[in-house]
Amino acid sequence: MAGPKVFWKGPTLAAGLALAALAAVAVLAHWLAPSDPDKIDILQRLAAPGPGQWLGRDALGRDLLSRMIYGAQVSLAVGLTAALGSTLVGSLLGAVSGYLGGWVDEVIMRCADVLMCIPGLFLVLTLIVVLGPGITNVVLVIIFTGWTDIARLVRGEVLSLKSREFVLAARASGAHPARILFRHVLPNAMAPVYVSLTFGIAGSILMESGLSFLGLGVQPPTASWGSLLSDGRETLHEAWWMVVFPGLAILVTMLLINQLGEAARRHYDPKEPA
Amino acid sequence: MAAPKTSALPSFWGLMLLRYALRRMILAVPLLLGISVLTFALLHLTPGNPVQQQMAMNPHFSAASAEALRRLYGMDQPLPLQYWHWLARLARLDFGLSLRDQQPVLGKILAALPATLFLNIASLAIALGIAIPFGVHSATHPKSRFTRFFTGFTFFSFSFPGFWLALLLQLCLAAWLGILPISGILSAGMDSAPWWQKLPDFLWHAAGPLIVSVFGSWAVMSRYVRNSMFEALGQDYIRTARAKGLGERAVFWRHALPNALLPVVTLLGLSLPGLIGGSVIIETIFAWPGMGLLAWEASTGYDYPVILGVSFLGACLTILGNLAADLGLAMLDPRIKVQ
Repeated sequence: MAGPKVFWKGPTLAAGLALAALAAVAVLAHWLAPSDPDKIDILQRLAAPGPGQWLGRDALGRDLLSRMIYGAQVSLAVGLTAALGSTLVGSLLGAVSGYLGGWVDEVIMRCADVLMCIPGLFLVLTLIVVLGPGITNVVLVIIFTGWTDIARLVRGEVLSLKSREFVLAARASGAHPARILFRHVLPNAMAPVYVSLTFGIAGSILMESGLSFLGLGVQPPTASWGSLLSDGRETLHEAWWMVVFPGLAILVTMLLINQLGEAARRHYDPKEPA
Repeated sequence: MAAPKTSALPSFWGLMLLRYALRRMILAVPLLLGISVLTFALLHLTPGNPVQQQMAMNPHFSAASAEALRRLYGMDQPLPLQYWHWLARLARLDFGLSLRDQQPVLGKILAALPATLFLNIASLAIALGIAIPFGVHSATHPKSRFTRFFTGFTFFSFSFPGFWLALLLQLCLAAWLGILPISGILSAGMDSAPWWQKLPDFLWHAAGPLIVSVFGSWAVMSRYVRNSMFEALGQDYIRTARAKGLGERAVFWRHALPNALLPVVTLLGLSLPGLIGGSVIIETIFAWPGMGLLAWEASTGYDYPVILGVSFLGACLTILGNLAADLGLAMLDPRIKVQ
């Protein structure tokens, strides 16, 4: 990838490397986790952090560090697939909507309007009730509710691009509309999409952990950072580590991804003051 | 530029505003219809309609009574007719009965609404009260150390998961130090207390949810204010104001800020769905008896009528809020009415 130079220096590079390390930990969870994340050891119930359980144990004596490492798999995988999914759906619908115009545009944009005026989490909760809780459904719901912003963004870009000379030239040379849209217009409309994809990953991870925290995401015994926090809430008075460490994992991941997002935004949209 | 104050012109602007308001209201109608279609579709997509639900819960349910229930719910009628009845019921804000306790859904929502409205309006006011001075300062002093610290802090709070902050508050301030209550809206036994005892107790309980809610929204807002102020300061009329010898104070507060705040009005309208829906997790953690807690309880209990009612009413509130923001903007900015 022709990575712009801004991504290869200073804090942005550090953030990228740290995220890569985090992803590696998630992928290699099977070998890196000190113990089985679901192994119950009731005698070690709520053991404080120390040798043998560096981040402590939960109410069933399961090792928190191992559960967090496996939880990273869920959080990162959901964040990536949901954000990529909604970006893909949103870009396609937005591009078609902006390029074709007319009734297609009208239908797609009115659907987006309807989805956008139902307060975010209410719509998500309603859909989860309809589909049932679970991690696949969380991804589907994030895609279903998340495509609208990107569609509007891409539609606006495509609208301003489609009357430009190079598009006219392509049309004059007899290119198929689909070819014009996907080979000429869309590649030029993608810069803001990359920026919003980065923030979309962060948002999806946050949404997954929020839904899992509410008990509507991953189902036990599988752990995600959000469901670990929800476990921690049950034992708030006895085990501070159950509340502190999973949240810290989410915060650090958010900071790293947003650092990349900021760099991308500054790169593609230099108008805005840093 | 303000219209000259002659007798004819204000009524002209008033008429334009009225026309604009009417046009915006007419535009909201298809939106409401769309939402009603979506909720109707969701109701029919649910695995297990109300009849099957009641059958599953009651082993003594006969086929005949299932048929009777189907007729009672109108489920033996063709879909378009069912939708028409659904629409008629929505127009009367009749969302049916909660599956959990057979209470009318509307009553439950109206009971939950004040708590949510208080939380959101108070947090919005506090967040704006912090965001505007911070945003203005960092736009006017872009190089100062304070601004750099502040920019870093907005970035940090932007990344901070709200529900974790809520848990940390509960852990530190409630469980360890005992300064704040863990959750709830009033202490036990306070229900029948006189208002001067009730109010401090209520505010004491509101502190936790308010801190989390303000923390979540002020960073985005102040960033918005800063960017918008930054842009306003670069405009020609600012140069004109300076050129005619106005002091910096007058330039900032009288000329730049009012213009910079116009986009903020739009932002307020746009942030409304988030403010109503975004409180689900906060309300759940702090057991704050508002719309969010209601929605969560309904969604974990498969209480379709309640969750659909909450979504529909939330959407109506959002449309109303956007309308209000647009009208406010039109009143502040005469250019919009005539476009």
